[in-house]
Amino acid sequence: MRKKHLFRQYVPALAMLLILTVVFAAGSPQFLTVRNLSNILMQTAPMCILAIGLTFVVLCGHLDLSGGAVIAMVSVISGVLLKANVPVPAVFLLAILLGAGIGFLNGFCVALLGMSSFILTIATQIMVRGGAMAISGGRTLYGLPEAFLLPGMGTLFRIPVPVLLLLILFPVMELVLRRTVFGYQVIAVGEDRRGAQMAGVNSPLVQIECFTLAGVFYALAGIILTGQLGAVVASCGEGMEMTALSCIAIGGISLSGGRGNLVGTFLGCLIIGFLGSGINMLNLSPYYTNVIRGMVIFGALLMEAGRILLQKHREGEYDV
Amino acid sequence: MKDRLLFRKKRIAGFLAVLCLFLMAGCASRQKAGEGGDAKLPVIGVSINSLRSPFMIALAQGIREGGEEEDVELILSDCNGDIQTQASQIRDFVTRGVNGILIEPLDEQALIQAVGEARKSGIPVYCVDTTVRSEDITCTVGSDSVVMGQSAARYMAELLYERYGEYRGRVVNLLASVNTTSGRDRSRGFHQVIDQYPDIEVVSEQNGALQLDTATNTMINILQANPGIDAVWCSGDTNAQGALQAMRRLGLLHTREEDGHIILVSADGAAESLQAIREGLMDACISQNPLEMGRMAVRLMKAEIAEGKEPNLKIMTYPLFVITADTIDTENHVRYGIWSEEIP
Repeated sequence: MRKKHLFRQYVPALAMLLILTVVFAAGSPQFLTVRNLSNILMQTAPMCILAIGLTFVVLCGHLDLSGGAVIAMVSVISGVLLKANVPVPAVFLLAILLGAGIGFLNGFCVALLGMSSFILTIATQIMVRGGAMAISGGRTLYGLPEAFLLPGMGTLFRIPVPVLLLLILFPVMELVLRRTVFGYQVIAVGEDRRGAQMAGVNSPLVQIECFTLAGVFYALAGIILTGQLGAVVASCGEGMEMTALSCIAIGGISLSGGRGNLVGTFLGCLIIGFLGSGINMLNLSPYYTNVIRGMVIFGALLMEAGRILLQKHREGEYDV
Repeated sequence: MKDRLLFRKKRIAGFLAVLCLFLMAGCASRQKAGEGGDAKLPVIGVSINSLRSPFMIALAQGIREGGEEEDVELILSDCNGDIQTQASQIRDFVTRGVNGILIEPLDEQALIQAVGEARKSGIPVYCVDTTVRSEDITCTVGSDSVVMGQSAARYMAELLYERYGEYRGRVVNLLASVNTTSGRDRSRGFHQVIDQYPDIEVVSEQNGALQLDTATNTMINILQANPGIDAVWCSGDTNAQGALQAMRRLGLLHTREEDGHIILVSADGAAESLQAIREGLMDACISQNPLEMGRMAVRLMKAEIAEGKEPNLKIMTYPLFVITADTIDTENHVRYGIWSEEIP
C-alpha cells in the first residue's frame, strides 16, 4: 500500500521525463548516450545541489529565493581569497561557512523575527547579489588554482566529481529526511508549525536549521559552478533558485510545506536538465527556448494538479 | 473616556500626516518647474549596465571621460540588467528635468514608452551601443552590428577556404542575445554572408546570452550533438570564453597549429579575447571601441544641448577593427584604440 502511494506521487514527473526522453532521443541520436546523460548531470549539478537545500526549506514551510545570490557571493569571495593566496582547503571551509552564515541569517529573521520568508529572502538576494557585483566590480576572474576547480572539473574513479556528489548527496539527504528525528521534525513543522511546537518540537530551531543547511548546500553549489566555469563571475547562478523551485514543484513537493521528498526534487531536476540539453541538441529555435521551457513546466504542473484532484476525489483511501 | 481621547489623537495625527504629504508634493512640483540644471552646466542623465562586462565598463568610462571633456554634469545610473529599473531611471531623469538622456538600452522594444515620455517633455534621448525601435531617439552611437556579423562570416569563410581548399565547413552561430538590436543584427549580418556559400552549413544556432554559464553549457550541448565542428561565431567576448571553456571540458581545445582546431571568431575586444588570440586559441575578434563611442555620444549630446546642433544622421556608426594574430600588434590597432588596456 505504501509503495503504491509513493509511486503515484511521482507519476506526473516520470511521465514528463518519459515524453521528453522519447522526443529528444528521436530528434538526436546523441541524446541517449552515456556521455550525454553524464553531461546533463554535470550541467544540472549546481542546480540540483541548490535544490536539495531548498527542498528542506520548502518542506519546513518556507521559501528561499536567495540561493543564486549566495552562489555568486561564495564564488566572488572565494576568488578574492584565492588571489590573496589563502590555501585552497581554507577557502573551501570559509565558503561553506559563508553560505551557512547567510542561511542562518535568513532562518533567524524568519523564525525568530517572524518575517515573511518570501519577502525576506528576496531582500537577502538583492543585497547579496549586489554585494557580489560590487566586490567583483563586474570583472570576471580567471586563473584560479587547479585544486579549487577540482570539485567542478575533476574526476574520481572515471566519474566526474559533481556527478559523484549528486549520487552521494541525494540518497544521504533522503535518508536524513526519512529516518532521522530531524527529518521528521522538518515535515512536522512544515505541516503545522504550532501543532509541532505544542507536540514538543522546537519549531524555530528546526526552521533555522533548515535555512542554514540550505546555505551550506548553496555554498557547495557555488564551489562546483565556479569550478565548472573555470572563472569567478558575479552574475553566475542568476535565476537558478527559481528554476530549482520549479523543479521542486514539478517533483510533487507542496510549496506550502509538509509534503514531499528528494526523489521528487531529483526527478524535477532531471526534467529541467533534459529540457536544456534537448533544446540545444535538436537546435530548436533560440527565440522560443523560454516558451518551450515554460510549456513543459506548465504541463508537468498540470499533470500534478490532476493527480492531486484525483487523490482528493478518493479522499480517505490514502494518507495525504 | 480614554478611548475618545485616543480617537481624537489619532484623528489629529492623521490630519497632520495628510498635510505633510500635500506640502511635500507641493515642494516637489515647484522643484520640477525650476530645475533644468545650472544654466552653465548641462545635465545628462545616463542609464547603462555598467558592471556586466569589460565592454560595458569601458563604455561607462568613455561616457565619464566625455562628460569631463565637454564640461557636462552626468548622472550615472546603473540599471543592473533589469529593464524595469532602466525604464524608471528614464522617468526619474524626466522628473528631475535633465537636459538630455543617454541610454544603453537593455531591450529594443520595452523602453519605447519611457522614451516617448522623455521626448514629450522636450528632452532629447540618445542611445549608445544598441538602439530602441522608436522615432523618439535623436541619435544612436554604436557599431554597425550587421557589418560586424558580415566581417566575421567573411573572415571565417576565408579560413575555411585555407583549411579545405574550398568554401565548405560546419559552423555554429552562438547568439549574443535574442532581444537586443545589436544581438539580432550580429546574427543577421553573419547569415547575409555565410548563406551565400552553399557548402558552409550552419549546423546549430543557439543563444549564449553573453553569460558565461549559459554560453558554456550551450556550447557543451552543441559540441556533443554535432561532431566535427569547424568554426564558431561567438558574437561576443563572454560567449567566446564560454566556448573555450566548453571545448576545454570536452577535450576539444586545440591551438591554431594543432589538428582539430576549431575556428573561433569573437567580437568586442576584451582583454581575454586578445589573450586568447595571442595564445593561438582564437582566430579573430571584431573589435569595437566602447571608450570612443561613449565619448562621442556625450560630445554629440553637448552639441545639441548647448548649440542646438542636431546630428545629421540617426545612426552614427563607429568603425570596427578586425583583430587577428597578424593585426594585433600593428600600428593600425594602436591607432584604432586598444580599449581593453585603457580600463582598470
